[in-house]
Amino acid sequence: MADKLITDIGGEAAGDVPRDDYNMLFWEKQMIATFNLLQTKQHVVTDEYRRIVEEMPADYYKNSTFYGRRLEGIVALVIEKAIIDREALEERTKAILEAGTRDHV
Amino acid sequence: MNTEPHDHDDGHDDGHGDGHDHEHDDHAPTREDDDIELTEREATFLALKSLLIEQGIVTAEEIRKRMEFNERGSPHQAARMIAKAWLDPHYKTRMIDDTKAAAAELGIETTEAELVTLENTPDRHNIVVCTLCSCYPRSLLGEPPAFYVSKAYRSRAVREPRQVLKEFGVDIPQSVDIAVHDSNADLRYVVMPMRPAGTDAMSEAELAALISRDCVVGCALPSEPGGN
Repeated sequence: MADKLITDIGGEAAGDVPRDDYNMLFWEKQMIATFNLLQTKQHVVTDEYRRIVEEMPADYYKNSTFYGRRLEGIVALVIEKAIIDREALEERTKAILEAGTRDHV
Repeated sequence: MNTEPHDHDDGHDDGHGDGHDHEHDDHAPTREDDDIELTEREATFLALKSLLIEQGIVTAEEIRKRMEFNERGSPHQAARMIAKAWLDPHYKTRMIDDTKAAAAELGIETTEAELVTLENTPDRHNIVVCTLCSCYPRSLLGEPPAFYVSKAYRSRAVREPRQVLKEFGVDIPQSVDIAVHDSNADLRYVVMPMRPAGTDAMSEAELAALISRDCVVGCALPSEPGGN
């Protein structure tokens, strides 16, 4: 039998279920909205996103957060589908971090 | 109810990019994280967003409108439906037969491909999970609770639901079966709890106020009348 998918954790033993709520950050809301738009405009489909998450390294997946994983998945998908150029994204990210401000984007 | 086109995951597109984009609109007016230092993760998203906008894939206005739509999803929408169902047996039948249509009757547009109502009974308590990811009827309920997307809940809800519920403060007697429903991209659920005793004189709005976010995934019971 093939190895289980990294996402196939139903039935596994685990610790306490965290009960604290999480207040989404503004950019996370923007990210979800952007992801929804990419879906509705048919640039990406749900199954592609699921596949890209399933292909994440097991250690990364295990330690990832929900919205962190969503970002990594979207980025991986738009690069894979040549919607966005990896170098352009890295350069833009670096420039934003160096500027240290949200105001110019 | 609006007339915007559907998609088949968890939302829809208004499709009205009007060429009147103000890239700074999306900074106003509530930046709850303005006092939080810019992280590499946020910077990556901001870079991605600006590139997508520059390339004409999305517009800032579309993102803003979509955020507005996403904000409409709220457990209160399901609570309204359940309260109405408690009062109106015909509506209850319609809600169980076709949850999306029953939502539409109340002006609630749902974008899930299929939405199913799970009725709790004296013999059966239903809980909902998505073991593989985070499938949740977002257009009806909004973003899922943090516990729902946690790996611990996804792992344990199917293995020891009674114990998980106990840890949530919900004691389901052994005489009551617990049915666990694993959601997927095409099929999502809402739990209809049993109407609490002592609520005969309550209005629809008062009944709706008894139904919490966690009730509609089966991880809580409705408040007792007069409780908080």
